[in-house]
Amino acid sequence: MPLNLRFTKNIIFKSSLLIIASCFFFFPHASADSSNLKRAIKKAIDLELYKDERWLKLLRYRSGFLSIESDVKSKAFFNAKDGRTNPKNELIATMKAFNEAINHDDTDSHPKCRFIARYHWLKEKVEWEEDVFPKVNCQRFQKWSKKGQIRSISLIFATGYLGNPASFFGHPLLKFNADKSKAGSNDLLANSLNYGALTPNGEDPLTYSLKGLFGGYNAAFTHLQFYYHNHNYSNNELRDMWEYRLNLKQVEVDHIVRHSWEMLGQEMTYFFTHDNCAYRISELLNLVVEKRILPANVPYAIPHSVFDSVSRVEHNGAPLVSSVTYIPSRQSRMTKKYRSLAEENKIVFKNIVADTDHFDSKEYKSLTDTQKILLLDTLFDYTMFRLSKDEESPIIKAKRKRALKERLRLPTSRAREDQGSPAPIHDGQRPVLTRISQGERSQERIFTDFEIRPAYYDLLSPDTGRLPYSSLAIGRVLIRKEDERFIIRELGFFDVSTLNIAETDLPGDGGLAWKFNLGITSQEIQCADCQVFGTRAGLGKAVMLDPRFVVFAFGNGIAQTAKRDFGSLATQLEAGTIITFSEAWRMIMKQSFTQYHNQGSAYLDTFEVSQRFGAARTWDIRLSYKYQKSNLMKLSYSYYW
Amino acid sequence: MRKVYGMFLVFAVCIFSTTAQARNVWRECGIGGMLFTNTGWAAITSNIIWDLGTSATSSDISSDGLCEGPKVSAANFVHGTYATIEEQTVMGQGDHLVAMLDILGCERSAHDKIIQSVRTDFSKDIARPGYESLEAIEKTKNYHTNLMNKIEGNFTSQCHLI
Repeated sequence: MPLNLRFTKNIIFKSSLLIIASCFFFFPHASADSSNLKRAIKKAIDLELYKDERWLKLLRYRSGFLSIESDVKSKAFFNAKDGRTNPKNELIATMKAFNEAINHDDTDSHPKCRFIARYHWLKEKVEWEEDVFPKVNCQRFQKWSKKGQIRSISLIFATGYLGNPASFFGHPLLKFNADKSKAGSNDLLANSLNYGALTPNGEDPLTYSLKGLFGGYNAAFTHLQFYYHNHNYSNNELRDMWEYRLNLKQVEVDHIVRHSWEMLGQEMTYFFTHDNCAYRISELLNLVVEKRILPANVPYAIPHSVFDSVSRVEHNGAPLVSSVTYIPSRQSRMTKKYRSLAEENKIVFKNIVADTDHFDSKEYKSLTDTQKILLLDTLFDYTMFRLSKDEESPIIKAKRKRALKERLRLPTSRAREDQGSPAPIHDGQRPVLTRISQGERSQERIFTDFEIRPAYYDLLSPDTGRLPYSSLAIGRVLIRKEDERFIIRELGFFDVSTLNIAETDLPGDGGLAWKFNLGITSQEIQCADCQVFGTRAGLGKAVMLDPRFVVFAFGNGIAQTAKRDFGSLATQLEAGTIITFSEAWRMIMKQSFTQYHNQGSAYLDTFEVSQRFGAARTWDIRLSYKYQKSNLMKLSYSYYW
Repeated sequence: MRKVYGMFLVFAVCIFSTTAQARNVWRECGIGGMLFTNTGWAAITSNIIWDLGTSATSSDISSDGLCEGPKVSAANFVHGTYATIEEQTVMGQGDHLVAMLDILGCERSAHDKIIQSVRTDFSKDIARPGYESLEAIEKTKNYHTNLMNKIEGNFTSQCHLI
């Protein structure tokens, strides 16, 4: 291209840009006085603000053995070339960046808007004159932060979800609550802040788990209005939520809101076990909350620990949490409403569920309007519960349509509010277990077991804050001392199960029970040194005969390293019962038959009874008995933290 | 010629914001493309990822003028919570209806009348054969159209963002 033509094009292009800009905005650029800027930078350096804890937190610096580095990997987060590893240079470059010319086409791209928390904090510390930096209208931030009307912050907990490994432990997020006295302020429309891995669509579960464990994903804070989470957790994933409203000063709320804005979209490495949602959300709160929410130097972060901690932390001389509110899922609402129906109305309800022509029955027509409204309200929850499992079911969709039409015949009224709520997660047993046991096995051999399990709970644990009748154990290690020898008896990498029990007698409630584990275990109870590595997976069914009495049966498949007469492949039948005598006393009794299919076709049957006594957050006592060709008894004290 | 072309380009950009409203927000703003359905294994996203563009739209801070504003926000809200909106409309009350009308800047004192008015037309929608089999986006579109017709027809003085 000839030089003069290129030049002409360039001129036209630049002129066009100028005219475009003038179509929309006209801002006189207030250029800063460079001597004022130099004075401000000098003061910041003299005050050693680059060493200040707040600066280090705002930039997410983490100290290593001999160095310091920010967790944030996005280059756009830093103003200095070496800003990720040099807090001082980053501070100087940030202050210089605040003096950059304004791009009038996009004022929000100015560093004063992008790093708005840094700007306000530095301004407070350095106390510079108003006119040191150009005035910028951060329109998008103003809109996002409801023009300074965010008055409080809530920490939301979505209970665990066994449909996705990343959700097993539950999930925390933040909600920014606007001033309720202002028109249009509504909790459902509040902004919420979420932290999570940025994963490609269609990632398979194995890749997802491995990359999540070993830092193969980046993660970022993102935002959505709360109604999205509310709908998705409640209706699609059937997860209860809890809202912990935090008792923060306005200046603290403003600081978290500003920092959240500058963190949006900034990428960090994601690890399931530590640098996860629980860790990043607690880190955000620790910008203003002095006491650490998650303990330092612990190699894992669990949402439960965040809620356990915030509910007990004092801040500004008062409890950090001012209120806790339960947000039930569709399933929880359905169960509660159905159970509250009179017995004869339950029959009417079940008849309608079976055939909506029963809306024309004498039994339904004889109900009062209030009874009909209660029944239809329950039917709305029931149909949504069913559609959450099979969203295309034409039968359920037709039932729902009929229910909606019936409801239109009745007077308007608000849906009945749920009365009461289960105990919140922070009242549940803490997740990290250390246990010591004294036992005896055949031939009067006494042993002592030492057990640790970083997370989370088992079938005997109290249900508070957990999915009832399920287990989730990760990283369990059991060391046995016997005859002056220490042996690693069991090493459970991963052990998850759910009985998936129906809580009502309605069709579609409940499902197949399932289990999966992977790790090292001992082949038999009477051998001292017979560890095998393997996996066990099973499908089954569990039924609640009474709220305190559950029976279950499983068919399991086992693949393991062969040991002695036992081959590497086996099938197992397992049946048992769980009896909850009281909150503080639960018992599991089960019998299993295992058939090995290679190396001699060995056969093994096992009978086991385990009991938990106590339902405290921090301890329980357990007593167990096992028979497998010989006897084993064990008494344990468990401490949870 | 090039200068004329350049000026035309400038003019086109200048008037973009005024023609934007005439474009199809349903097709162009991604309403319905958002992840509001139960996605099975992909529900992984519920916990951990959101496309930042989607987030921006749903949080009402999209930079494209077409997809901004209360009408689009209300459409996103209805689509994202349709099952609850549907239930609360037949009940005649509920927190989601309040939020929906808050988005449109409707005075709280006018909510009952607006809902009653929408409920009447909604009953006709539900009564139509095949209502239950409509795609979620179609249901949203019908509901939103009904709502906006009511508001723009009878409640403009009570709904200040329209």
